[in-house]
Amino acid sequence: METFFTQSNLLVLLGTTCAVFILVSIIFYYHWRKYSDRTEVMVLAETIYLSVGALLFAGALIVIGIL
Amino acid sequence: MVILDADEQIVAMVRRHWFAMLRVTLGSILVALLPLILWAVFRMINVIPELSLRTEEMMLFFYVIFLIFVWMFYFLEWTDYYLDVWLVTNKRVIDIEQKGLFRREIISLHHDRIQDVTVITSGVIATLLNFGKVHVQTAGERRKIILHDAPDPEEVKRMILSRVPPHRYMSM
Repeated sequence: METFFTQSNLLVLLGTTCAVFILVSIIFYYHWRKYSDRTEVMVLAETIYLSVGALLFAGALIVIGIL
Repeated sequence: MVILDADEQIVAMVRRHWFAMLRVTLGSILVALLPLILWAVFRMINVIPELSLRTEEMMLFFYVIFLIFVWMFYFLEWTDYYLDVWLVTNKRVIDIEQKGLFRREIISLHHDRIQDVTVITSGVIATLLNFGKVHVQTAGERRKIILHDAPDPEEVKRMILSRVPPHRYMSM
């Protein structure tokens, strides 16, 4: 397991997850902006979603760095 | 959101009760913590052998990836919660239902077609927090719309029935 999950393989896995996250965010934005008229709630939702997502990705990057 | 007629006005907008979202939130937190709980339990009963520091760090990496997916799932549920809405206008009841990310249903029932409004409150929490199901049934086509976890369902029923023409109301 340790030989397969090298730093570069983990980075590829993280990059793929990041791509999925960005794709899902774009779909969320599409829905939130198209179907809701409460912009202040949507801006708050976007901020929370992206901030926590960015923190998690930063955490994963730090772990890869330690490895 | 929905295109209304020129002389149509929104009387009320009803979303599911906040408890529906609290349920999802608690479920997501439990799912997020589950690997940690299992890890601690298995460690305690010595099921997991001693792992190297590198393997443990790698497991931490996969746990963070898992959390990212739980986070995406949570927002998917929130989007579903937030975009599911009932609009009561002076002419009709509009049920907008978001099902996942790529399916959206909009059903509108004109007040003069409504034949029956039923309220079902079941369970201790639903009774204490005052939420429940509201079924609205129309006459001919046997169409029905259901709002799950409606806050103050009796008030929603009253609001709809107060707009149903008297001759229909009396026949119920």
